[in-house]
Amino acid sequence: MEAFQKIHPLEFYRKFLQRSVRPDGRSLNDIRKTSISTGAITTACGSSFVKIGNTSVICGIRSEVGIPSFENTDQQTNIFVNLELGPICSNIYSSTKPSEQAMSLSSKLNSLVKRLDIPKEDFYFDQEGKVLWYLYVDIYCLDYDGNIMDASILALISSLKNVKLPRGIIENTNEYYKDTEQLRSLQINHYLFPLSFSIIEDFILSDPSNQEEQLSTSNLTITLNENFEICLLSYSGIKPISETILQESFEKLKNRIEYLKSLIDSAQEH
Amino acid sequence: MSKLSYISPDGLRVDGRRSNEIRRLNIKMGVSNRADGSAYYEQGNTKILVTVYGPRESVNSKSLYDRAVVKCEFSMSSFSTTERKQRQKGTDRQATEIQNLIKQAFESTVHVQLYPRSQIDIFVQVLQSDGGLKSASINACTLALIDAGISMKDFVCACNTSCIDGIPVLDLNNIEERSGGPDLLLSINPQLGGVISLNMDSKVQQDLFESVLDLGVKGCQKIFTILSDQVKRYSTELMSNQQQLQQS
Repeated sequence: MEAFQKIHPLEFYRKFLQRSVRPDGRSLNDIRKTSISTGAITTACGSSFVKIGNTSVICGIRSEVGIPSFENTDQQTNIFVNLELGPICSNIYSSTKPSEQAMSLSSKLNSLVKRLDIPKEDFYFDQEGKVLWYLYVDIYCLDYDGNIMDASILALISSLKNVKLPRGIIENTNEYYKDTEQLRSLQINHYLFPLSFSIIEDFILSDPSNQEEQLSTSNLTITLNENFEICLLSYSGIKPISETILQESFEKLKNRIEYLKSLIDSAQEH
Repeated sequence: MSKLSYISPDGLRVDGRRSNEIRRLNIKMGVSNRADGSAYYEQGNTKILVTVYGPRESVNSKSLYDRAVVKCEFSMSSFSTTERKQRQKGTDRQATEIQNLIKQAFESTVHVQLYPRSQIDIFVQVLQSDGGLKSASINACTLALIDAGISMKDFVCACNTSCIDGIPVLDLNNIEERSGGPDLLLSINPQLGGVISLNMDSKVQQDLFESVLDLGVKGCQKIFTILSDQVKRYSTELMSNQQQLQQS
């Protein structure tokens, strides 16, 4: 059986999928056990740890104080997201060159942050906003077993909700002091609920594992907010996707939203 | 800074320990599924994850025909310290130093001649840093290598010691490391009784040095008892799981 899986992985999967089950015992729509915890890293001003099955990511946020440049202020963002897929998480990544996958995911995460509609005033260091907070979000994958997109989006939103910024005091125009007695959180108006799918032949698999991702012909990621508005929809593959599949995928995600919401909220309570 | 007292009149340090006490260790082995061996190591507020791949075929032809090559890569998460570090891969001097330290320590302790033409990769990821990074990384690597089932002569246990105001202190945290006292890093083979590495970068009187070194050896032995306890507990757990599988 193991030899069969190694030599003919696709055929091996096909045999399972025809019976609507996956080799790890899940049905096609089942999602692996997901858990979120926050605040584990005390050197960061916000942090979270997300585990989806065997995939685990850790996310930490560092805050810096900076003076904004006054060109096109509407376009400016105060949050910078970076995702790192290092050799620690899997032997397919090398440390010498940054992985292309990590870079493309980072840019997607950076665009997702803008969908959160965090008010500009929340980044003010002082009352007037002459000096601003800049948040650097770093997500490290510790263990890679597929579906890194969902894990990093969940890590991003839960660590941002975990952020505690000290009250800033400015004296003599260029001396910055932080009052760590008075901490405040960011006002985050939206949630992000991700779900990824892999398509192997005609089967649509929710929450794909590493091997499923490698066998798949195309991948689909949908991210909605709590009002069912699309925040991110990315599809890549060699075959076009039919509208019914897309509709079905939306339905699957909508069914999961309540659960994800409770997961994100309960992680904040500790 | 000199006005800050590192040791109170009662003999307690900034975090409430006595001078000969190490911080609480929290250890988990076998945390990663992809890697051949892995360990999560917590010493006080220093948190480190180590994964080991190998012994595997050398990727570039730097293999040696009669033994294995140990390679180590050390990286700090950008949120691990209180000041965010600028990303500068490959040029970080501290990282290179620790990488070399780990490489040397384990090339002498692993039975490298058992794995010819192969390499053993050790990846160290610091999640949170609160002093004692070098010693904590070495201890964590020992655990990860044991988890990977790589044959070793002995454990490698490391500990840092210093002396503050003439009193030798064990296992410094971040605040104490900045006190400017001599920082002595000692790593030993606790059962064979050999010193793997000894680094010290300050001038100290010889008699004081001896008492600091003495304390360091005691600290390493203490760490060894905790590590070996944990390894035994972990392996009995694995054994009992295996027996249960065979019975069912």
